Amino acid sequence: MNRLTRAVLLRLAVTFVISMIFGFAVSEITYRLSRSDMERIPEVLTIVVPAGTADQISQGQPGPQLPEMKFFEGDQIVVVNQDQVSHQLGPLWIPPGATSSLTLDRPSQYNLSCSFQPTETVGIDVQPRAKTSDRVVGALAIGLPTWGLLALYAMVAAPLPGKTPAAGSSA
Amino acid sequence: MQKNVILAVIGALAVVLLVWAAAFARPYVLHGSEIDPPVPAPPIQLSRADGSGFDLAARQGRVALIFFGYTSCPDICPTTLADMKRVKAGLGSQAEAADFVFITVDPQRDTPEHTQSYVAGFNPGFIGLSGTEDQLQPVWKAYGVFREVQPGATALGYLVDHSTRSYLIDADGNLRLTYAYGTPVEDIVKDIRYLLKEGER
Repeated sequence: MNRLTRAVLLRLAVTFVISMIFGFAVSEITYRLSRSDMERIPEVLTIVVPAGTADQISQGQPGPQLPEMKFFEGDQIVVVNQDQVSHQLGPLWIPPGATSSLTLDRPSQYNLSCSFQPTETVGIDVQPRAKTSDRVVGALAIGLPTWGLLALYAMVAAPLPGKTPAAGSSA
Repeated sequence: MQKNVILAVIGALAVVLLVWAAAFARPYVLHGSEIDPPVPAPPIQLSRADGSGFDLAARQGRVALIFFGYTSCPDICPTTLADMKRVKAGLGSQAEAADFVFITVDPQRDTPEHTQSYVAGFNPGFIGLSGTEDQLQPVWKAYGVFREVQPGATALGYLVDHSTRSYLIDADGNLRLTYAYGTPVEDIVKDIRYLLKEGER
């Protein structure tokens, strides 16, 4: 490997490290300034449908109390069905005596049928989550273009060793 | 010197790849509504159009995607069967280890022959099942299938309101997952692949 190649690789390596540090710093500062509940770890909401719920609902009585159905991507709903008949909560179907779970893997808003609420519907709001991968992608999205520009600048700003001056410049 | 430079470049790339892998590496999460712990799939024993019997319990070692509908259905059933066709295509050669089963909720009009002929129009490998109402009633009940005939709903005859979820049975004969109508085909394909791989272990 000659001096020119070594010098090019060295500049590429140095500018890469500087660019990635810069990209990481900008991405992290932006993330920390704008973070909210979106970054909390995924939670599990467990709902128990007690025995006799279907009979209660058919008699017009209230079913189990449901919390606010607002979630972040990655949260999980678990429904424990202690009743003698199957129940449904939107996409969740729970055979009698069984437990079903659903991981909310996409941001969305549903208005779902629910067999254990007298209104027979329930709204679910799934918000997007800021993931670690988003931060890595953010750092790379800033770092890689910066690297390109910085590397180009480093090649042009200081002459590389062993490069002969351009013919026109010697006049 | 040149060795150090190469090592530095390789090291920097390795760090980026490791961070990337750590950020994205996650255990597989099933997409449907998961029954956990799984429960044994309720029995399904019905006659097929060719006179043979279909016994779900006898098909262990295979994964089964099951849907309840009817052949005169104007919207949900053909859409779901079209999705099933795409699921089968998406599985490629792995589809040989999976059954795609359509069970009628309208036995008055859907004979086993008519049901099989209807599903074969989507894919010749699909299994269409029917029977008498007495044979089907316990199956509908066990799978929580809602059905309600709407008499005289169209000029072509009555419609049947029915539940629209699909059921996925694993290779051990357990009811593992249910899917709401409209679940992306890719999600179902990934789940079936996961269950097939799990069945091999």
